[in-house]
Amino acid sequence: MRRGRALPPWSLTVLAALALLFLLLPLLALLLRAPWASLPRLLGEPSVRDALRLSLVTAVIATSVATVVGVPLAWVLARVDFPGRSLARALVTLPLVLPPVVGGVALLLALGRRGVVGGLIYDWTGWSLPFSTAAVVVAETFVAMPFLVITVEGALRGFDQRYEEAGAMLGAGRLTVLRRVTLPMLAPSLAAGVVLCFARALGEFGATITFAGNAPGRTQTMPLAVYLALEDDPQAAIALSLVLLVVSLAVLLLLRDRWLRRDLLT
Amino acid sequence: MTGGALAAQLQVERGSLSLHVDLAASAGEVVVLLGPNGAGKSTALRALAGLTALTAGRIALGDQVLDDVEAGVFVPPERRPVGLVHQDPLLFPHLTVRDNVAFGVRARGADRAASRRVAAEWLERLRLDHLAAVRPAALSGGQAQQVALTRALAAGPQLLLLDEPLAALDASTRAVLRTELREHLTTYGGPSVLVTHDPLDALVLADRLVVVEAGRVVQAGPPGDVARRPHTDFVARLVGLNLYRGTRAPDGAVALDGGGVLRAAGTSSATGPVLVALRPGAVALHASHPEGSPRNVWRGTVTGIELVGDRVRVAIDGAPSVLADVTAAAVADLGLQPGLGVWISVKANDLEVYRSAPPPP
Repeated sequence: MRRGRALPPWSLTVLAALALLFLLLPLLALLLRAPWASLPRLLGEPSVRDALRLSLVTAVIATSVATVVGVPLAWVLARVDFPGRSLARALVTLPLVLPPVVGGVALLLALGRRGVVGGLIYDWTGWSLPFSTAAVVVAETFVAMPFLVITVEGALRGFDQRYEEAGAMLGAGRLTVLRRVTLPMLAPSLAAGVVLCFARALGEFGATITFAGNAPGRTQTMPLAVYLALEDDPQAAIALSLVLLVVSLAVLLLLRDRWLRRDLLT
Repeated sequence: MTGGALAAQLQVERGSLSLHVDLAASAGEVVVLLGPNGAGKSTALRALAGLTALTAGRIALGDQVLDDVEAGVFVPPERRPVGLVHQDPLLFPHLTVRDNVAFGVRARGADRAASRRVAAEWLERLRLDHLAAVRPAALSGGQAQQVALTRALAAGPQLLLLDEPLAALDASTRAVLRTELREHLTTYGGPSVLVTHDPLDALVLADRLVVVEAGRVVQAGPPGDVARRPHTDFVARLVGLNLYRGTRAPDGAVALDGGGVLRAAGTSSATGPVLVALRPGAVALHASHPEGSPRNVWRGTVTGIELVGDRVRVAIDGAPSVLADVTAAAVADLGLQPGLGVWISVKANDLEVYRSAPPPP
């Protein structure tokens, strides 16, 4: 006698297996074709090291900026009732679905040398943002911040506000309550938002190449380096891809780690 | 800490809720708001805390005005010298017991070291110092609620609000904490307002009982008076009394609105609309018309029998209907069962007759 539920329909099983295979095969190919022997030498090359360093530095800065302004944005969206709140909420999610290259064009039109705001800055100071390392940070922040805002806002809205009332009744103002009660209790969600934001910033390609260009050592991040290396040095491209894969896996593990799942409220 | 008496006129209109409650509590006095669920008790408490906006009215603590709709005064919750203990302890899970208790002290301006010292003193005073380093997740329900009370007291409130503070606890913890709470409220020294729907909490903890039904005060007074002479069916049910409305004639006979006549002892000057309260234990049941002196004798039909403690509560349909508490032996002797006709007798001395005066303001 078979115990438990009946087997799933074979048609669904076959299609599901196909989908899984489709997702796994490219990653498998990457591992199979990786130049394991020459990997240390490839990763040691100055151009690769530059791209890796630039990527990490810009992604860390972008994530920090996104956290410093994104958490307050999430708080306002979740806690302050103002006209146009649902519109603001929709606008925040727009960069999530917008093709990144469109984001890059939009950033150029806003902050470029002849952009709406960038033009004014250029006229006054003679300085223009695009095609600088700062532009990489701006592009990454633009694309990655919504991940953080949405994660934190969702957590804030699901948060038991009686804890905030308890803090207020003990004499703590809203800022103190946010700092000493809400954010510590939402630490797992906050961490998830930060990690997602960092991963998205690290992988950013379209907005970066459009807005910041592709100058080695200055604006050429890992994804750009991978794309360019594919033409003249495919082995290096594979090596770089492996590094990004490892980082992504690390992010996934972090997100699934028990530490992030631990629910402080129960 | 004392900051003077509480004087509040609370009016909140929100959706289907309409609350009009005036409250006064002097320093050291425990006022208990008692009422059924949804009566507006918790809303009244939230309004005192500043968590719910008043539609109209005023809240003053001594000479500080916390809320005055007409004058446009509203002190936000974090600047009110008011402590709130909720049904759930709501301890901050990421802080130790000591840091939870220190939270309010620190929020009101003390530095970390000073606030921890104050917290340690309070924990010792409430005999909880052995829990100082523990996190809330490791506390029992009763301990957590004690810590919540300590946390509220340590912040030095001039008004203490307690919203069903014992409701989430099991019966034995509840009995212990009820006694302790009484002690702490006495030593606290400021006015306290406690909300409950449990009559035992109300009778043990209250200096003055305010009964709220459907957003209005229906009765207020010392708990003993309220328990002896309930004004509404809700209170009568809570304290386990039969309550009848009627009109008293000069000869002392009360013609009940629901049918039947009850005669109380003596002749009273009180005529007109009155209430009559009757303890179920004072009701006697008989198989045939009783001999002797009882002034009130009538016939009824048993509709329900239920064991309550070591007594049996018998519901009887008649004019008037009545709840009677009798012994198990009496149930057996009389062969009581639903549908059986019985004779009911009540001595005139056992009836409490009083005016259904409107509640004092």
